Amino acid sequence: MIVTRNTIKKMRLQHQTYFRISHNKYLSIFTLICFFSVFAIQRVDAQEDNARGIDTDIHSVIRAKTPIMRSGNPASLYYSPVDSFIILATQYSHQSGNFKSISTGDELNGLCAQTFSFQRLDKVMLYGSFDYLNQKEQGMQYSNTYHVRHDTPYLFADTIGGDTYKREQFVFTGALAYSVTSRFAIGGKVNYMTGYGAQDRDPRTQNKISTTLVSIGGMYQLTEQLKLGGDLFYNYYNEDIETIVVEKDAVYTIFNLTGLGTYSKHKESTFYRLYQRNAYGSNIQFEWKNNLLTAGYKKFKENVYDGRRESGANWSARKHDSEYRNNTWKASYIYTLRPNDFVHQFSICAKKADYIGSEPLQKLIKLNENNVYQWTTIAKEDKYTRKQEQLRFSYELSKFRSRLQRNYWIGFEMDYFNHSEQYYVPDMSLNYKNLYTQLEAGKYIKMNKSGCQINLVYGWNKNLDRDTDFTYDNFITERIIVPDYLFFSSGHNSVKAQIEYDFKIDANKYCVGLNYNLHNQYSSSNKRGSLTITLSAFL
Amino acid sequence: MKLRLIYIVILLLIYACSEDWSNPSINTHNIKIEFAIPDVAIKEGLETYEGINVQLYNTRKDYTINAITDSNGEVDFKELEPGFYQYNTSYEEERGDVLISLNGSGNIEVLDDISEKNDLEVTFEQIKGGNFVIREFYYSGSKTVAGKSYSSDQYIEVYNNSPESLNANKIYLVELESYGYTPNYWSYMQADSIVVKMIWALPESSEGHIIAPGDGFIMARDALNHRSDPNGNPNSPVDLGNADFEFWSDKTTTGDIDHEAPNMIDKLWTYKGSDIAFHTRGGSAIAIVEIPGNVDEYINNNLVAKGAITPSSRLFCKIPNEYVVDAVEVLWDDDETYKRMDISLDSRGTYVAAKSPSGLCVRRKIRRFIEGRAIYQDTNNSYEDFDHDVVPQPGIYK
Repeated sequence: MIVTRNTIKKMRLQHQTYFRISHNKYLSIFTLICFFSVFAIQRVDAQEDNARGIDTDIHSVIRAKTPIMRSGNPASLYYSPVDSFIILATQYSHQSGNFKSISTGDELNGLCAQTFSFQRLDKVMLYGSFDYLNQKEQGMQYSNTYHVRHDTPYLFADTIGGDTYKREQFVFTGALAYSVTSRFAIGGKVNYMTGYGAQDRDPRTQNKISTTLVSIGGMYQLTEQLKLGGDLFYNYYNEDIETIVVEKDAVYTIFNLTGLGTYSKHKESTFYRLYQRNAYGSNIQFEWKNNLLTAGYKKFKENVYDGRRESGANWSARKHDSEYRNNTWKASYIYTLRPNDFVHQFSICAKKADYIGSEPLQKLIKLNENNVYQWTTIAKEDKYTRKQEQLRFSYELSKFRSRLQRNYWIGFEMDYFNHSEQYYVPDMSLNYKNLYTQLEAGKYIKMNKSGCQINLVYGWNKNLDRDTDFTYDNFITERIIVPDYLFFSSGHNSVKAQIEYDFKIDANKYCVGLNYNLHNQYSSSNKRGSLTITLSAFL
Repeated sequence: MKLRLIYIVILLLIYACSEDWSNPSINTHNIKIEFAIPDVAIKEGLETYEGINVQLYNTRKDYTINAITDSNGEVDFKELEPGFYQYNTSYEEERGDVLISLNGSGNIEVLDDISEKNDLEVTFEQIKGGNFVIREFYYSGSKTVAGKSYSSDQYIEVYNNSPESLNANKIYLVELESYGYTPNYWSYMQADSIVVKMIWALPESSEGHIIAPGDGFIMARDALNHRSDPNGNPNSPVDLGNADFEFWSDKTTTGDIDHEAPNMIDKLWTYKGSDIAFHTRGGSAIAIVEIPGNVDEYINNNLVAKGAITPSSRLFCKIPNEYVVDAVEVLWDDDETYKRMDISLDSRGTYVAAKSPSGLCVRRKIRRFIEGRAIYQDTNNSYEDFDHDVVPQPGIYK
């Protein structure tokens, strides 16, 4: 009787999750219509007299034209070269192939609706965007988090493969920059993302995820040639995971990974896990003539809690599994030259990130005479470190045909990446160094009332060095750690081809673009391809 | 405004530099366990505990380290990661017609070095005769001709492992509250108590139930010849027509047929139904306990409920570990994580790997024969003490 009731409860829960996703579809469509309606009543002007007037990759144009906007300081929005612009886009994407991280699905299909807009109102510059994503990832294994996570060793996995993950995600962004005086601008930005995910096979997880980013900044123009800026940001990430088993009387082993093949495990019919990350940081900017120097740091602390649902067992609700801390420094220098319609941009960027993972040791301690027990930390031990160093150099040449549209462009990028992980007692390590090189070329071809844009990117990743030292091999090492290590340190090539056709449907106002994007990555024995088709309307 | 922003940025930068990111605080500890030989074993001529394997199991990370005791009966474990550990060791030696069995087990919190002076308590047991033991537990059930599961043939057999006659009058069979595949709600009291959902007494008898050395008794779910009875199953491996006692539910007059064997009495049956059933796939933990005094009074005074804030209406009974005569934890398989009883009662569970309905059971190993009487192995480690996946043989002690 009890089992039956539990089973019904689980099935109901599962049904509710799918219903919630289904319900959210209607919510999202409604939200989308409302969002578009707000923009539709605004008066907008086409920027130029060619087919579209604005480059499809508007963010690349902004980066080339106004390097300070690369910094992420919301006050820099005020200097946007784009005054009034709205884009509405829908996108279908497909990925498949076996050149992938072990936890990534064999196949990924997604539908996305997106809109973003710039709007200048006297001394105020506004930016808003909304994204809706509906995604289905098939053939997943060893991952029960909403996204396959590579930024932490504290993963959550079961060993039953062939999962299908359905996800639905909404992202809202609003940013505002205001010119307080002719020399001083301030800005603020809020970004909120929420998503739901559910697996279809026991042990099936239901994920609720949200991130909130708030940043504020200021930018002061000391002289005609000199700007100083600074910004602060705070980011909160939360992921609730509930794992259930629908099959009657069945339990599954669930692994809490703690780095380089170490783990604790639980055999459960239900399990609950919570990730909470608080990140904050700041950046400073210094722009003098054609030079832009930025520096910043970020710090986060992520706590993971576990719970095992037991009726009335308040102590079992939350157990502190791990604490993960990070400190990231980055600095970049950008030099921009703008002879005639050309923009030459050289950039060099360095980044250093350190991570420490701790494992709390907890005991059930009796709190009072009413038999109230609570998991209490009696020690917290540092067990894991990760270091990442990155040095990137890039050069971009853009020839503009009009103010916001490129005629052709070429780019070159070299990216050195050094990754090392260490687990202590038993001592184990994993290291690799990669050098990624990329070449890019693109051309916009103007036709009568239409235009065609072609972009080609070729990249290759060369592994410079790699080694591992595992004290013992176990199931987790063999199935997850080593395959991912081989994937991330593999030499591989990638080719990306993008073609876009756009045409006016209303003189000087509206145009529609169709973008077809193919991306193939391949190593000696594996490959993975992706296809993206985007239909956009530019208002 | 400008200055404030600069101050804030500087403060954050200073704070960011405050942690040494290249040198994490890594701790390791050394522990030394000394196993002192109890006087009773010294009297039997045992002088040293040298060269014995000691297992140290990290309960959180699920790995085991082994080390060998030195001539002083000491064992050193070096550079352990901090955490919660269990240690286990066992040793057996025959001295004449006496079997000396020493078992040590315990829990250690390794949060600091544990020095030689901090000797750990070790429990030793000398096995000369023993007490009642659970000899056979058949729970997996069998498959009918139609291919369906049949579990009516479940039974438990208790055996007198001592050289003397014992009275089973005060012996009670109990089943622990949770199954082995779910967390034990009562883990916080596991070190001193078990919590049970069923307590069954043998039927009252003025003479008691005297069990001779080398004899036992069978408690059947349904005391019938399962292979020949029309209500049985021809594929069943057992004939329980001669079972000594039968579990019977008085809750229904139609569901549970009352056979000839005397009925056992349910003193506590939290989830009372029309028939008793042990989990066919495994998971039950059972024990025989000896409760002094008036058992009904004891139960009434020791009822507990789940939920500290909003207690459940379901009541279970808390029994001290010291009342436990013998215990067996049965698991689904070897990959079990949740213990329901302290390791001093059963340090590791057993299971039927063939699962249900296989018609197979777990049976205690025979250690030796003394004057034709089987002495069963009882080291409080069911994983070692029991053969699993064996054909049930109720009442056959050879």
